[in-house]
Amino acid sequence: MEPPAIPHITEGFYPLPEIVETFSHHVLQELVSLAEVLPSMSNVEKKKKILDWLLRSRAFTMRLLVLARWVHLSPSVHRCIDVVAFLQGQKFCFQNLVHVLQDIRYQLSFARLRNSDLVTALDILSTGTSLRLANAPTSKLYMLSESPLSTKQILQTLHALNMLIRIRLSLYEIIPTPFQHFTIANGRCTFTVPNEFSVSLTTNSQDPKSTGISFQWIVVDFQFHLPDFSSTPAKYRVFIELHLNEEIAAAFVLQKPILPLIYNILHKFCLYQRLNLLSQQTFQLSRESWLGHLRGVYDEKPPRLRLYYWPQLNVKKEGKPGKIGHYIHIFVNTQPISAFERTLSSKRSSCEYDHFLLLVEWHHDGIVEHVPLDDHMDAQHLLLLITQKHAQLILEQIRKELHPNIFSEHVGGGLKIHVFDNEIIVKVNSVTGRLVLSSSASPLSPPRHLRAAEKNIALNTQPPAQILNRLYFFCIQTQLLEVAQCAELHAVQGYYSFPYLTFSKGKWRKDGDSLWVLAYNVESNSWSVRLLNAAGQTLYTQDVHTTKGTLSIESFSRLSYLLEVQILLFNVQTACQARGMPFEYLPIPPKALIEDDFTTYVQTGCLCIMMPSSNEDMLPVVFVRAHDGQLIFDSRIKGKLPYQSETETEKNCYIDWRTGRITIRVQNFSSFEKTWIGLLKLVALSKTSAFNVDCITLKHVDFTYLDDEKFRATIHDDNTFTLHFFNRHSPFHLISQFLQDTFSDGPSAIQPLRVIMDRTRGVLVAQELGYVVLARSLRQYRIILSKNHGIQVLLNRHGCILQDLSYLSADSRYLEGTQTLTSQWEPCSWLNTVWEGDLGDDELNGQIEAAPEMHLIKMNKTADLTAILKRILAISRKK
Amino acid sequence: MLPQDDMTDEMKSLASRLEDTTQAFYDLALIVYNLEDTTPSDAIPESLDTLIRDLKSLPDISRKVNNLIPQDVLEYIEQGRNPDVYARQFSELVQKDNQYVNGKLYAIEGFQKAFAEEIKQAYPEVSSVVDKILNEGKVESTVS
Repeated sequence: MEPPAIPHITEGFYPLPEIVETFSHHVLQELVSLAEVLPSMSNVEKKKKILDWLLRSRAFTMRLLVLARWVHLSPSVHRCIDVVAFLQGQKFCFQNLVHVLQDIRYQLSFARLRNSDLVTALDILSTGTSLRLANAPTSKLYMLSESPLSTKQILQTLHALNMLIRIRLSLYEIIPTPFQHFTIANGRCTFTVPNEFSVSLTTNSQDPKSTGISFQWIVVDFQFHLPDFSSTPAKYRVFIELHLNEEIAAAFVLQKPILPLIYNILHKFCLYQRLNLLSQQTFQLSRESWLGHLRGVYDEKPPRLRLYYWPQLNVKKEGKPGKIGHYIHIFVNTQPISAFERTLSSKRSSCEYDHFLLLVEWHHDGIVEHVPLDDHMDAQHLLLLITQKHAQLILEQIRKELHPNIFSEHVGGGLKIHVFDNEIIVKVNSVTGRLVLSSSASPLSPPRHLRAAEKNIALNTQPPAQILNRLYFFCIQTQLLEVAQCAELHAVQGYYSFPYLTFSKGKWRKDGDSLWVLAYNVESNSWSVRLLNAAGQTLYTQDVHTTKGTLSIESFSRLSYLLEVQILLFNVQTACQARGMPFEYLPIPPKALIEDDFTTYVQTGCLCIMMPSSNEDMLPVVFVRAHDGQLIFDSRIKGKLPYQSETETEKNCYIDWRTGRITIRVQNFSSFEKTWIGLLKLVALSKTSAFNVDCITLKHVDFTYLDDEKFRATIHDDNTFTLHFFNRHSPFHLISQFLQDTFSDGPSAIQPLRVIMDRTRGVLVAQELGYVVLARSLRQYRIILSKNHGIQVLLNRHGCILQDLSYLSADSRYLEGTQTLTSQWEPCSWLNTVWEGDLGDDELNGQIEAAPEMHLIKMNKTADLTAILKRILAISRKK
Repeated sequence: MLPQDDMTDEMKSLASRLEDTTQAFYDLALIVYNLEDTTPSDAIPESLDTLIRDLKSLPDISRKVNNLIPQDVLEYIEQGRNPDVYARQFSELVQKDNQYVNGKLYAIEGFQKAFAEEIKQAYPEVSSVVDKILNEGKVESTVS
């Protein structure tokens, strides 16, 4: 019998003729559509459209060709598909078979009978009761009796235990020093070590005197007293109690002291637990607040903890992380027993125990430094302590490397750098180790340059001190530029480079492109005033002395004022150089002038000039200051002078006659020189001994001549003098016009005036007697006795000549003739005896020399002209 | 490459005509691409007539090849893949499934024997029924 044929699958199959026919129709339809669309296109678009269609259709044709070449395999593939479908059906049958078997198994599980309890049935049927159940462990036979212990019994037992433990500890046990403080209560003994642990021990022995045979300690309780770990988990307590009891049993066999053993075990356990706590705190910090900046490494054998902080501070070489140079090492170590402690050792306070200690070592820069570990110090406190120390070291190193002129100090855990009236505060972030820069002016929002400097320091491209140096100078420059602009100053570029900053104003530019500038040396923190020419060369420089005031707009204004002062003083120096006068600049003015110093930040200097003076009437030293565009000259007059009022002001000159101090305010040196010369002449006049000086002012000097004739010498702007006689009837009015040019610049300028007045006074006596006196010059006078009679008086170096006018020399007559004088002089006949040398007084006769033929007499300089003239005029009056 | 012996003349004829159609498309594209003033005026009409003639004759030729094409093969060709790969993979699949089912059948027969023995031991009273079922299968085999 043939097996049945497998099913023939027809779904999902397509006849080839249908495919080809569909393709043919589709392509031809597209061709028709293309023919309809092409007329509306341009030639290029037509070409493109046709090509696209042809290529796409060709691709479809290629696919159809592939299918045509494969079609001979379709019957075989079709049969394979049928076989696979049939086999798939077989698989499903097998799976269904498995499921059916599982269902049968599940259903048959309910077709069972329970096993009969033959044992119980046998017991009940044979004995009538269940003996096995009555003897089970849960029956009442195993329960305790209901008679409890009385309170008295309990207290008595505990009391006995207390006494037993006390006797044992007092007489037979070695107690280590940390265990010397203990309490005995409630049948147990509790040893407490502060900040570590407390452990409770009890005993089940009866005889305290036994030495290890029957007396045995039992640990019944344990509590942690670590600062950050006060609660004791149950698992710790159980573990410790079991472990300690085991160790006690072992030591019991070996006859070792129990309490030192317990202390050693627990103490070490607490140290390691504390180390573990520090480790946990470190890991927590490294994941939270110290994320990325802290790494904790915990080693198990032996237990120790290393904290690596501030990773970016590691020295980098060639872009690779260098060797770690700083970390904190926490470990447990044994400390030797000191001799002192051994001496004090006793049975109740023994030193025979392990002196383990938790030590902290700080490794930095190749140095190991021990840090004391406080009992209450956790990981964060330890880190903060170490990082604070490290920060101090870093800041100290930076402070040493800073520029010498930068003033810095340690303030409040940071480094404070003073920049004029502000401070740059450099701190080290305790978590990251980065330098944090802030400004005291704006602590919450640091300026951009501070943030930039901070970033540069973090990049570690240059040493921090170098960056801070540059930042410091930048801050100075910035502040100077800001303040200078407020003070109407602008920075000048191109003349000087670092470390100089130069400022100027438009009005400070002189003719010929010379420029006055204020120069500030950033490194030396000093100011100077400079004059530059067009080529940038320095023609003049002068240092400025500044006080310790803060720099501000006012300070810059004062600096500007100082420069203007310097310009004026420079002009004075130029004038002095031109005149060959020595001078010296004093940065700090003398004490006498300090009260006139108008600035607080900038002290204006003064110029000391040595005036060319040959007399000693005035001090040659003159101090020159400048203020408000004016030059102020200060000098003194030597000696005491009679003055009219104590102080006097005349135009640009002020004088204190009591002290002799003179202050002259002028615009330039020439004006001062003119005033100075005038003052010199005036003082020279007042110093004369030829006359009695009554008083002196800045305008004139009053004199007294022979106690009755007062006159005044007035000085004018051109340094010339005018004489004025106060007595309206003074005979000197006659010759006052000739007396104007008698003064000179010498110290004895007025001496000739005295001589002249002494000599002419004899001639002028005639005026007092009523005669008319004519003065032709200071040497030639005529006394008119009557209309046609007169006497001529000639004064010369050798003395005086009196002559009758009618007997003048021929030359004189000739000159008078040419002038066509109307009058003719007649001889004075009554004076013939005089011309013969007889004056009627022997004394006077001795002073004259007669010449009768010339009708004249001669007298020497020592002759008394006044007396002689009086005698002669008296003769004339008689006749 | 699979053998080509079972290709019929109709199949070969269809393939040849399809090649001609492809070439016609190419020739027309070449003429259009190089279209210039020197191109003969009857070039495009001639090529176009040839193309249309080939396209119209395709359905007539393909009606003689009445084979069914699986949809998977069409998808293969549409994606540009080789349909021979599909054929080879399917033949491998047939072999694999055949071996799998054969193994299953062998295992089930072994299980049948073991299961029958267990039932006979557990329930001796139903041994005759089990033997009857087993004999039924054998009888059929003997008859065949």
